[in-house]
Amino acid sequence: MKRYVVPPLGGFSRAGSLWTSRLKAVLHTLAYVFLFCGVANAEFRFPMPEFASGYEHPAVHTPIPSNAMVGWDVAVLIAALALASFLVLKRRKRREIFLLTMFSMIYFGFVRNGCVCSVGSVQNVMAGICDPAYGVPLTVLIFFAAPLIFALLFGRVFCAAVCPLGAIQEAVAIKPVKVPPAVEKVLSVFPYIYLGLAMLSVAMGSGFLICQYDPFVGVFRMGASFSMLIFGGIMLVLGIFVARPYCRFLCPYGVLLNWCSKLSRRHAVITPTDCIQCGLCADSCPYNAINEPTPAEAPEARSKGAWRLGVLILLLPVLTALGFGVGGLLKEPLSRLHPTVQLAERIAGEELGRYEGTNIESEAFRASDTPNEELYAEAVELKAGYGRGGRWLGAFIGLVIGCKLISVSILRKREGYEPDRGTCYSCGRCFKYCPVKE
Amino acid sequence: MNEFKQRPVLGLIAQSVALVAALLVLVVSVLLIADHVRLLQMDPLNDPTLLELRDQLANTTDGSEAVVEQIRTYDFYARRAFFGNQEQRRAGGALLLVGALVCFAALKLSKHWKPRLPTVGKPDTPSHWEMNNLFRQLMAGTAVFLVALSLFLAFAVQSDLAMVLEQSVEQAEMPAPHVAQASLPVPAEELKSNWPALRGPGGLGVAHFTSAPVSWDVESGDGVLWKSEIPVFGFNSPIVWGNRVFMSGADEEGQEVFCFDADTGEELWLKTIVSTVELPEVSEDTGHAAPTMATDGTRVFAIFASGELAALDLDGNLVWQKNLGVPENPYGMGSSLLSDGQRLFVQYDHEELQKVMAFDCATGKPAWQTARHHISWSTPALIETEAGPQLILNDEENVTAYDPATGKQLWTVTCLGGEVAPSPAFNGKDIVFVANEYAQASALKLNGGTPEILWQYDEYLPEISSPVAGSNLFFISTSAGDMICLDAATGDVKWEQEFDDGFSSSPVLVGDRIYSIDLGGIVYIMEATDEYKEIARIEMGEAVYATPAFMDNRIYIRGEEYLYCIGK
Repeated sequence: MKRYVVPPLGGFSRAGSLWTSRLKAVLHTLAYVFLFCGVANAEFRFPMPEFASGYEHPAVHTPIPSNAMVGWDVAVLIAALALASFLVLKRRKRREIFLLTMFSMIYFGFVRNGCVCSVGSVQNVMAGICDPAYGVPLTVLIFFAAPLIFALLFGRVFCAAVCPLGAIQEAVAIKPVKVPPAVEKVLSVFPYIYLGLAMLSVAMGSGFLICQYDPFVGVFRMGASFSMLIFGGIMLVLGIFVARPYCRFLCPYGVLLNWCSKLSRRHAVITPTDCIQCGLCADSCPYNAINEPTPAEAPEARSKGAWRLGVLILLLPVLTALGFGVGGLLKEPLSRLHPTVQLAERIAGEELGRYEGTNIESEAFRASDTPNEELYAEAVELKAGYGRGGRWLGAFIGLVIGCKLISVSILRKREGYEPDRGTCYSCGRCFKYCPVKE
Repeated sequence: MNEFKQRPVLGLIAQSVALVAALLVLVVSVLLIADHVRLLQMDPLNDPTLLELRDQLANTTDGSEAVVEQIRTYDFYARRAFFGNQEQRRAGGALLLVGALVCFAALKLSKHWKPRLPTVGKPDTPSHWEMNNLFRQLMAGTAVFLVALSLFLAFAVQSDLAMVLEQSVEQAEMPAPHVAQASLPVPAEELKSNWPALRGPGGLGVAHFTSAPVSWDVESGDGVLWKSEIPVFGFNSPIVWGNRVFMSGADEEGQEVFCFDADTGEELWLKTIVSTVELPEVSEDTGHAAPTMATDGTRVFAIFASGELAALDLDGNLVWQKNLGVPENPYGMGSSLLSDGQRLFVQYDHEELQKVMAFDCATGKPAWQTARHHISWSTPALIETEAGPQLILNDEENVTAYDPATGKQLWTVTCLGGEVAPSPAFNGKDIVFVANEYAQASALKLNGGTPEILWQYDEYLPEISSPVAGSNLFFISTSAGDMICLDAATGDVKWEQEFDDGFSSSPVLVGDRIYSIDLGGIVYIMEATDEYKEIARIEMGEAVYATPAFMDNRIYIRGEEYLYCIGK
């Protein structure tokens, strides 16, 4: 994919025009309100000082990234996952799990700056699948696979105490309130949408969306772009009252962990032996991840439920097809994710006189002497790709909605209070509420 | 071990620590915000003192070392202040983060020391079955929402790229020898010696002839050469070519073009323009035939509220006709036609689609079209500048100039607002004037690039009537009945005059006189000088909305019912 070099700014310039600066001022103010604005670094640049003495500026060197800590990171990850599994399944102490969570937040978050991150590694893997020339580093592959393998064995212990994104949200969850369960289930569609969008973005070469909008990396790194800072601030403030909002309603990696955890060999249990159905645990989980025992009496005839299930199963291909059709219409908005399409639209808009003057990207493009037609042709091709990708994204979302409708319509027998294997983060809040001890 | 043991004192201490930490966070946040706002307003390298020093240095011939040293010192202080501030911000950020960590840690401890006791009994939540039903309903609603959102995005996100590619395809499909097929240009002098469009040659409201009658009496017929009944009503104004006067009219029944003998007032012909589309609903204030016709001397052109554009020869035979698409706007089609003798210009700025088009007068084939971005009811003006002819268009935000030969945008200035009907004026040399109610009047000095705004005036402004400019003076007539004369170079008010009725008709400059007709049909004739001096006021006896045509010592005035020829 062609990239156009942005020319250097001359003089003491602010990046962007006056109005952008003002907009940034407003956004900055908002960011500060969300407590973490202070860590934003200024975007000003001074020109190089001029020396009359003939002094020559030394060449700027970018240091090669160090891999010294990479092996150590993998070791800490595996150890943390193993310890988390032990604490969740054997020790069953919320406090100990929480301490490990805080360690992970400090190590994977503040020390290692939130990268490599299992959540973002999905994109590397997708990039590796789409582009055979793209090599997925082994570390990234381990960060992607290890939490999934542990989820297959012991449930979402990664979410419980290892993921730095989950950890920082767990730290701020001071007064969590319960989201109505039905709303929670509906909102659980959005991680699938985000995952689909992120995968489409990678497949089309428009970048790593999950990293671009990682809400907490700005806090870990003590500096971030405005969007990241604001998004992170919103998530943390929201997280005081709605525990783990990112994990529950956005995290794309959580979708994969959910699937694996449903199949887990062993999973955290609320009651170490038999549930006495006292109901004390039911109110302790802020994630609506505790399933109640199935009511003995059904309010409707079994045949009616079966008929509804049949209709929903028949509806599944219809929803998928509808999503496929509607997704195809999203060619234009989806393609705006791609910088080349954005640039082509900008250049075309300038040709039509829709903008006054140029912006920094269009200026760089015009300076490159590349014919507009070449850029337009590339953008048209990309748009066609987004049209196809949009169809599959729509079909995926239709399928997810259909499956969720079917899932909720299947009667499952439960004798006591049980954690939902897919959505339970194994945080251990419920352990101490259960009066039955081993 | 009792995991629910209450330790109220420790809990209280933790809460107090959390409160103090929260206050610290708040104070640091406010300080950082204040600092950031201050920093945004700073522009050290464009500091007036530094710029002044640089000017001093530029003006010295010997490169004064003292000034250089001062600049160096100033530059050094600016850098030191900036980087010092950066350090402070970083420290503030770290303090903020530590404060937040302490606050959250203390709150967590407070929860630990004052844990929430288990709730005995089943929580008050919907039953398993109710919840599942609710979920299915909400999920269905979410699916509908997602589909609606997708459809909205699909239609709301428009592609400039697609428009550019479409235009290039259209241009590629145009026949190459198109220019050769175009009409032969009509000599400029011939256009000037007739009245080929609304407000005369170029649509500028300035008559080529310097004299016109100043006294007549409609009732007695003194000074009135003839008076003819208008067959179909329309708000458009008469145009004149040679010894023929052309107008159009339309209603729900049909669209007509008609021609009168300029010497006798005899109706020579009336041609019905059959609409190829259903006639749209239009505002009563605009009607179906508001746009004034135009002529290239060989053909006359008319456009109606239906978007039907027709060319007829001077004997009323249809030469070509096309529909440009039914205009969608709240009032109807208001923009009049204009021709440079070779091309016909159509300003088509409506709600969904805004563009300016040029057609070959002879064949009706598109010569070019250029996309625009705002709605308008204004009529283009064609001006002659040192750099060549420019087609000037007003819209609800901008004044924009185009090359009449290619449609290429030459410049645009944002200085208008509101619903724009008045057209631009020109001093004949280098100043374009625009004005509209709810915006301001602006004088734009042409300089080869984007014009400079010389002055602006925002007291009495036109709503429908277009302003007119002489070489030194600029005149505005308003819907409230005011007439204002401004100095063209400075915008200073020369005089203001209040009349009984408002103006829809545009004032016309004839020699050193201004002719303006109010809605009550009173013709005001005044001197075009920097002091108000009324020469005459003459009653037409009926309402007049149209702008009169001036030619060869005659005035053609379209009343509500009659067309008058004043003169001999």
